[in-house]
Amino acid sequence: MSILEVNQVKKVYTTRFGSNKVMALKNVNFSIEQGEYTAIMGESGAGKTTLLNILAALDRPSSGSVILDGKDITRVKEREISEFRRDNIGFVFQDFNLLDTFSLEDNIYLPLVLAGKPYREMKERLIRLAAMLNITDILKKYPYEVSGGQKQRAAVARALITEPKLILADEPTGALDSKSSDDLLKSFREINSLGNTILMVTHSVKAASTADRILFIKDGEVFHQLYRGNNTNEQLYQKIADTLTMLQSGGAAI
Amino acid sequence: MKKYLFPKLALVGIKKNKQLYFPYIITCICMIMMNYVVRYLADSETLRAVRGGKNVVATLFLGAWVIGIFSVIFLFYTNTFLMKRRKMEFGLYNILGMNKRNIAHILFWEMLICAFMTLAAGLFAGILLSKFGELILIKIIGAKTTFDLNISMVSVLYTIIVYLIIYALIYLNNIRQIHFINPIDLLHSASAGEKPPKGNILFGLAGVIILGIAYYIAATVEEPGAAITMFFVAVIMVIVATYLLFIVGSVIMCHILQKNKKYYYKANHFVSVSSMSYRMKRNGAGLASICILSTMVLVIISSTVSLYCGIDDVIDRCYPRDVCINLNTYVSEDGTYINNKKVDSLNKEIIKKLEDMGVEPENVLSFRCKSFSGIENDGVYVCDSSVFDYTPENYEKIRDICLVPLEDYNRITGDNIKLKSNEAIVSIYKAEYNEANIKLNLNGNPVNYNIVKNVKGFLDYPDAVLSIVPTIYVVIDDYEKTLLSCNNSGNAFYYNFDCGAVINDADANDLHSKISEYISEVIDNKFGKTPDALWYSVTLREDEWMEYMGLYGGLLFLGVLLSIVFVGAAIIIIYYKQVSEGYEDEQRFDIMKKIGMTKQEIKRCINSQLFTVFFAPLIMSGVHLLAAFRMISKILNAMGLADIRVFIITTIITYGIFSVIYICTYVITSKIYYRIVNRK
Repeated sequence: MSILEVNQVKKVYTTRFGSNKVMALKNVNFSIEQGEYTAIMGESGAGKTTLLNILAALDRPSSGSVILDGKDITRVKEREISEFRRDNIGFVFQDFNLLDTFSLEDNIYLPLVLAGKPYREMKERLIRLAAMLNITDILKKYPYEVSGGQKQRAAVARALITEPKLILADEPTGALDSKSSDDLLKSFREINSLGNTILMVTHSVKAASTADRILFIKDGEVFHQLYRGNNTNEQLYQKIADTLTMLQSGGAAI
Repeated sequence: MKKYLFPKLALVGIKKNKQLYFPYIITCICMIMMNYVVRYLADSETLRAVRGGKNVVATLFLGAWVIGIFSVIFLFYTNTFLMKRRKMEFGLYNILGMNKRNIAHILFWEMLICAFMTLAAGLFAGILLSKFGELILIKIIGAKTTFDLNISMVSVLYTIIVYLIIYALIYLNNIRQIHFINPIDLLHSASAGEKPPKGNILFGLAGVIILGIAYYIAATVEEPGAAITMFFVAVIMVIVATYLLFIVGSVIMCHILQKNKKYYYKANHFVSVSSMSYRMKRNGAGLASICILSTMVLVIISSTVSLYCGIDDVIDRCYPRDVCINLNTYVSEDGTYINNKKVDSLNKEIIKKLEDMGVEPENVLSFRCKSFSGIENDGVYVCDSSVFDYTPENYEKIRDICLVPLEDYNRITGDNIKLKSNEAIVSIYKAEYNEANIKLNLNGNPVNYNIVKNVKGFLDYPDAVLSIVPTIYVVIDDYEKTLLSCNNSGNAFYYNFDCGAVINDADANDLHSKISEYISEVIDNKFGKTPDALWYSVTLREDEWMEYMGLYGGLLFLGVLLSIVFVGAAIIIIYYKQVSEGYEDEQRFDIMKKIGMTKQEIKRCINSQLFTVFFAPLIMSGVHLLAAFRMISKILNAMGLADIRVFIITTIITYGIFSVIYICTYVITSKIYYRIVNRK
């Protein structure tokens, strides 16, 4: 069953004075199955971030539909959009986006507090998540007191705590060192193995190679895709690298 | 080209930061304007010439100082907001290859442009307003004036010098700050996290205790004299406590709220409580300042307005009769004091002289009295100037003891009471005395009287009503003998009467000099040549009314002026707080939006946060005012205001008006805040 369907999504930006139109997404079509771990790759300016913003309901497409679990998120009313996002989508940002004024624990609670969940339930969920992400010891600390990797794991916990239908990650390893990146990607696999659907936008071949499936975007279109099949991470890594080389050297679709 | 680079950069800097610079410039202009107006009025010849004007001028000189000092503090304060935002810009200049000398150069030009603009605009507005102010002031003190617009060069120069000094000080302070900046730190300063503030329990507790003591003083002080001295002590304590409570106490309170999981993890409280605990530490001082400014405005306006409104009442009570003549002599064995026989003839002669003048005295009150300052000690009022200890801790024990002869008492009241030598009638003003007897020690001469009667309000003449110290009248039979037994003492003779006709302003001077002249004649007749040991005074109600109008009218005018300055200051503080917090919170709310906070939730959160932070000072100042109410009433009472209802009403109205202004400021500035936060 598809949890997410993206149909003919198009996004046109108009420059400030209306004379120039920039086509960010031309025609994007793909669907993601429940429990799938997908990576989206592409060069800068390929439209990855635009696509992610549309999927997260942070932005609206010019035309086309995005159907999350049977509901077209492009048609959700402006007033309800934040609530919809909070309940259905977990977002992991490149720069963590943790609030300085909260401890990690409170940062993780934030979406649940907004949803009006009782403290006991929040606490139970957190204990499980914290153990899985290995942040139990640092929950009382503040964002500036911990390392980038720890911050990002807290941010992942925040994304997961609402038990969203879809987890979106925008370059989650972008601000991390290689060791932290590896840890985080391991966590992603683990989360995925528990049945969570993950969609990750990334530049990093290493990060993409942990996914089940990789979509390549070029000039506002899904240009190509790869499935893991029976490949190991290393084999997938090689395939991705080859594909990127080909994409960049301007080859046609395979 | 290079020659104009710095002035150009300075001008661009001012323009680019207009959201921050504009209020600063307006503040400067207003301060300069106020300073000029007050200074001009203090120097005004027109005002000096008006009767009662001297009191006004003295008050205004004080006011000019207050505004000057306040300008220094306040402009420094607003300038820090300006510099905080601008450091980033200077850091960039620094990285682009400008050295700190160059930056100081830009700052110098900015200061110069700013000084020129504000001084020109401020003085212009001041000159226009000064005449207006003068007209209002003269109207307030009830005098007449002619219309002529003039510029006081002295005041212009004074204002320019004062503000150039202030600007120079601010400039030096800015350079000092620039000197210590490091461009790399600046680029990172925004992203550096900040520790949540730890409220120091000790300081918080100290705040509560100090405030408690101050409130206790205000609630328990009895004597008006003590109220005045203790008032300033209490004010300082309240200021200290307010700062402590806002800076530390509020953080502790937030921590307690955070500990309460059920309360804390609710959508409404979660964000506001946590950011408030940060906010309070950073802005506690600002909030405390707003609170203190509010309280000052409320106290100043309500007390000056009620004093001014109460003038007629004060005059009626203090000077129930048009003219008050007062003779003082030393008592000596040779009989050259005002003894019983002399009183009768004095009375007759004064009446005769007045009739010669065409004045028919009505409602005459004439009596003798001998007054001592006494300190209560073990139930004895010790009246001995050689051992008199007039220190503040004795304030509550001090009484004015006035001996009055029985003959005069009987004459005034129309009674025919006889007293034994150990008996007395007492009458007490501004205090209670319910003992069966009264013990006095008159210059080492102990006496003890049984009180046969305690009468209320039998002598209504100026000294008793105006004195801060409670007065006890002791009516005794052997007045003269008692006086002779206390060495080196004087006695006074009062002759108060109504003229029977309305005295207007023009006649008052004339009448005053005439009566004085006649009185000296009467005295010459009675005592031979006016002896050295005798002096006298003539007080006219009309004169006193003018004096009071001058004093209280001047106080009112200055009070209103200062209140405008303080309210303006509070508004500016609020504005800068909102703007700077808006910039700080912008990113925070952006994150929350991404996580799934709805627009309404953000709005609700902002409102609850602003509401608490904003109305805390207003509520606190209300509480301060309530606590100080009794004390201020006592002081106003000492200053002659008997009808405390006037004070209650003006206080309530002032608080109401102030709240409206405050709420308007809140609405406008929170819109600005919301706009900044929601820019993206």
